[in-house]
Formats: sequence, structure tokens, C-alpha cells
Amino acid sequence: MKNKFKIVILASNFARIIIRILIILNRRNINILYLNVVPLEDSQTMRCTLEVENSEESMHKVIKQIEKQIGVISTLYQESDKEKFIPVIKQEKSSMPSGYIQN
Amino acid sequence: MQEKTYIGSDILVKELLAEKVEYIFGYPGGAIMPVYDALYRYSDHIHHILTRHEQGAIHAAQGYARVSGKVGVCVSTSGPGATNLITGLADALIDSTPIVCITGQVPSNLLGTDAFQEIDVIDISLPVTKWNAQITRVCDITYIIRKAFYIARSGRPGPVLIDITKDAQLQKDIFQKTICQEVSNFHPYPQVHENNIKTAAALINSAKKPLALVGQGVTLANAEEEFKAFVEKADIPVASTLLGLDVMDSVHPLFVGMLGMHGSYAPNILTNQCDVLIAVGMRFDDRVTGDVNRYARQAKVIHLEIEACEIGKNIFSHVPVLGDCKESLPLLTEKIRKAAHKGWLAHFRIMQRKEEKIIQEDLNPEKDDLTMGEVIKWINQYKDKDAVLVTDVGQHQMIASRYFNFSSRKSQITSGGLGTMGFSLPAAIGAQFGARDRQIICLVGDGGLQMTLQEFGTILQDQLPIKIVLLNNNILGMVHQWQDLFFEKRYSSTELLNPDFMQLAKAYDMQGRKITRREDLQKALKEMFELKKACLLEVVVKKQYNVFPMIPSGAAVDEVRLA
Ligand SMILES: Cc1ncc(C[n+]2csc(CCOP(=O)(O)OP(=O)(O)O)c2C)c(N)n1
Repeated sequence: MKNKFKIVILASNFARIIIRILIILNRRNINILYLNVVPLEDSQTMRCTLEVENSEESMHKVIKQIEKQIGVISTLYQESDKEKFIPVIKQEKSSMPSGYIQN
Repeated sequence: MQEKTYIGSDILVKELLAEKVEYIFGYPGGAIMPVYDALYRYSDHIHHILTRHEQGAIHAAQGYARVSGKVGVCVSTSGPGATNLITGLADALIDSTPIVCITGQVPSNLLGTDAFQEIDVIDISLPVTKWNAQITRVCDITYIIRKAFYIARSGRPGPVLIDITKDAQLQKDIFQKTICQEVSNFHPYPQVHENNIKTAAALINSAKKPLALVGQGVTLANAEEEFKAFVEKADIPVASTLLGLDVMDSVHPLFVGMLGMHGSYAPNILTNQCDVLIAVGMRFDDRVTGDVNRYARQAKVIHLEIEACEIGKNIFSHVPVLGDCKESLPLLTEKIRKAAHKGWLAHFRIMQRKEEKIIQEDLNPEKDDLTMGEVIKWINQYKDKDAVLVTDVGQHQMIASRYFNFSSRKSQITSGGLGTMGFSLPAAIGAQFGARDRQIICLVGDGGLQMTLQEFGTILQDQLPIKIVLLNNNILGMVHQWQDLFFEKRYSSTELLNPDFMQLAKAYDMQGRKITRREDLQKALKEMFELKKACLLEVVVKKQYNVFPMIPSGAAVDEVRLA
């Protein structure tokens, strides 16, 4: 069953991140009802708000794919008629040395 | 004192040297010429391998990366040079291969003007790269190249494409020595949670019929030893995906065979009978699972995986263990009890007997026609222990996966997720550079060989001692098999009228040998492996021959067919 979902994405302010997000949705033929992008004050980050039609299960998987994109900082989503956002926690910080690992 | 300045292309090459790049595979052209000029200047430090097609260059970079564990690098020009890379990018993305591709681009003032050989490669390659970026200013080269290597190799590896405009290659700047500490908002190594380890261990300790599934993730994490210690402690049978075949020795007593469409009978059937399924570094591809709704419904699933989006993507996971398995496997091994599953393991051996008839027909045929299986059998006999098998796509790939004796780390290279015909020859070239002392065997069908045949030229130029074994059935075997089984023998466009491959070998100064009779096979293989130069051994095999076992697409794993 398809519901309407609202997604809010915080990401580095870089146009191609939006395309990467749209590719993820388009590839699964997810209907996009609304899209809005605003840069935040620091101009380093932007907020992207979308409304899409999708099933709950697929929504969960799609959000994980969006989260994976390099430059995406955090993602929230909720069913459009519900109050509370479901936060998605980006993979936590590394426990491995994240520095400059040589070949 | 003023710091020394360099042009962008020199900075780029110095950057590659800082990343310890030894080999670059590529093909020159207008928009990348400054970089080729720099490569000329630095040719004492970096060896550029001129392939005969950009697709060859990227597959070679993949082969290099797969065998060495290092990042493969490939370079091409703008426009057609860049579009020729797309297949390789897609292949590297789905098979998690770390590569960095550098493409030239028209000068930045011409972007968007339909300039000669201008193509928007960044947008074209978005869906087939882990990350990509365009450099239009010399001052960005250092940072972006470092970021590219860091992203390509970290976490789940993947391909990165960097497009660099010609003006950026020619502008001057100083060489910055700062290093890329980390990429913001990119956390490739998720923390392993103690709680999940505990739950997983408890589940494994309670299991009567555990089954471990291993994938390439273990190889990518260099965790083969950790994996072996884990399964040996709890005496768990191991089945592997296509790309996980070289994680464990093929003759290890716990190894029960390959999973999936052309996998072994026992592990496919018993997937639907085990009580705990432990998947390590694999992604439950549809070729492995068949119908997901009838896949291991009885089992509790533990999934060790480095990428969050793979967990629960196809198969629900009761205990997800997110993290690098190099880290999580030892933690798990520590918490599980020593166990023995004799009866359960015997079950696999009993099941395996059902396959015996197929195995005999493949390996010890009674009819006159040569089979692909017997060629593999004799390859096993004469190959080096640490030989690397590079296979193409089709029936020969499946037969090799079933029968080849994988007996050393990183000994298998094949195109898994994308199934790219034409992959093997260039990948074998790259693999030979990645492992100069290992024997590289390229096993290829007559269809696949002709997709990237031009790379014979690269083998000639670089004097590579690759052993090419061509299994010639004069058809597109795997498609022919589907037509035979599912399209009522309507063999639409699968017959090949082939060239004289021996004359081709001769043209490229390769040792050529054609085998049509069983009695010549062994000797020819033996001689080939003794030779220190490139050889093409063509074996004419039975034309109509179907690979079994087989799970028809859409069927469940326990509906695997033996005929
Ligand atoms: C680039 C590409 N095109 C088409 C296919 C579809 N395909 C899969 S296997 C196969 C036949 C391969 O024939 P051959 O190389 O002769 O090997 P064989 O199956 O006979 O061992 C084809 C056409 C593919 N995998 N890749």
C-alpha cells in the first residue's frame, strides 16, 4: 500500500547530491510530489525537503540508500499526516582509524 | 623564498605517487594530453599501460585492484574515452572494487557548449560511481584526488571518477603536502555493537543446524583467517557466493560448495532446512536467493555487513551485526562455544551424492566430446597452488566456479554482479600487473573473448605471460542453455561463426594450441603452464551442454534442478 511521506535531508551544499537523491527515487519509480531545496545560513549545508508516494517498507530501504550518499549529513522522514518524524541515524563515527590509510 | 610551482597535470601525477600508485591503465586523447605529458616526465616512477580500448583499461584496473587489494587507476580522454568507461564503473560498483578513474575534459570555458568531445561524464556516471567530481581549478586537484582515493578504498570499496578540465591541467600552483584526514559526513567503518555480538553468539550457541554464507566482503576486509577461525570453532558448514569462493580452500572439510543459480545441490536445499543462517560479507543477491519469499523462512538470520543499507534489503535479518567483519568476527569467535555438528555436516555429504551423476558427466565423460569440466579438472592438476583464475561470463564461468580448486587468497576474479562478458581478458592483464609472480589463468568463452579481443595487443606489447584457456563451443553457451530449457529450443542468434583463433594467436605472437581430442588435453595444459610467455589454448568442447544444478529464475532455492 502506498502512503505519502515527507523526507527532510540535511546535506553538504552541492548540487549533485540532489541529483544522486533523485536518481535513488527515480530508479524505483517513486513518485515525487514536492521538492524544495534551501541553503542554510552557513552556506556549507542545505536542507532538502521532499514529499513522495511510497510503501512503508520501501521507504525504509530508500532512506538507507540516501543516507549512504557521501555528503548527506542526516535524514528524517515521516508519513505526511503523522506528527512525529522518524530520525535516521547516519552510520556512527568510525572505530577504525579514519585517517589517511595508505595502499 | 618563493615555493616551486607546478602545472596541474604534474601535481596530479605527484598526487598519484603520494598514493603509492605504481601502475596506471589508460588510453590518451586530446583533453588528457597534459596528463600524458606529465606521465612521460614521471615515467621512471609510474608505469602506464596502454590498453587497446578504454573498457580494457578500466577492467584491467579492476583486475589489478581485485588481486592486489590496492586501488586500481585508469585514465582516459573526454567524450568517447569517458563513455567507454561506463561498463567498468558499473561492474566495479556492484562488485565493490576500489578504482579511481581520471578523465580529461574540455577547457572549463567550453563546458556546456557542445565542444568537440565534450560529454557530461559526471552526470552520466552518477548512478555507477560511489562518488565523482569535476576539477576545474588547479588548486582543487590535491584535495579532490586524495578524497577520491580515500573514498574508493574505505568501507565498502567502490569506483570514483574524477573529471579534470584541460585548463586545470595546465594552470600552475604549488604542491600542497597536507593530507586528507577524513571526509566530512562519510563514516565508512560503523562501530560494532557489543550487544549484537552477544545476541548473535547466543543464537549460534543454541544452533543445531547452523549454516554460514560467505561473500567477497571477507576478502575485501582481509578477514579470511578470522572467518576460518570462526567457523572452525563452532564447526559450521560454509557455502559461498560466486565472489566468495576463494575465501576458504575449496577442499576445506567445512566447505560445502557454491550457492545460488548454478551452485551445489546440498547448500541450496539445506538453506531451507538450517536453523541459523550466518551471512558474512554478502548481499543476498537474487541469483543466490531465488524467490525471497521462500528463502530460509525457517531460519534465524545473522548478517555481518559493513554497509547499513544492505542489511534487510532483500532478506530480513534477525540479528544485524553492522561493522567491518575484520573487527566483528574475532569478537564473535571469542563469545561462541566450541561445538561439533557431525550429523548436520554429514547431511551435506549425503545430499551431495545426488549431484554425483552430474559431477561424473562433467569431469569424467564417457562420450567423445570434450567437456568444460574435464578441462578444469586438468587445470587443477597442473596449475600453481597460488594461481589466479580470471573467468569471463557464461557456462564456462559457472563450471569453473564449481570445479576449480581455489587454494590461495585472492585467487578468483570474475564479473559477479554485472556479469560483464569481455571482462576476463583485460582483467587478467591487470591481475598480472597486480601479482607479477603469480600464474594468471584467463578462462573465457568464444563469445566473451571476442568482446575485448583487441587486448591481445596489450599482452603483446607488455609481454605478459597470461595463460588464456578458450573453451570454444561455437555458441553463446549460457543463452543457448536458456533457449534450450525455457524457450523450446528456439536458438535465436546464439550460433557463432568463429575466426581461426590460432591465426589470431600467431598474429599477436602468442603460443597457440588447439585441442579437439581428449588424449591431447593433459599434455597441452601441462606444456602451457611450463611456458613463460603468453599462450592461447583453445579447447573445442561439446556444443550443446547444459550446466546443472540450476535454480530456474524465480524458483525457490530448494527447487534446484538436477536435469
Ligand atoms: C556484455 C554482455 N552481453 C550479453 C550478455 C548475456 N550473456 C550472458 S552469458 C552469454 C553467453 C556467453 O557465451 P560465451 O562467451 O561463448 O561463453 P559460454 O557460455 O559458451 O561458456 C551472454 C550472451 C552478458 N552477460 N554480457
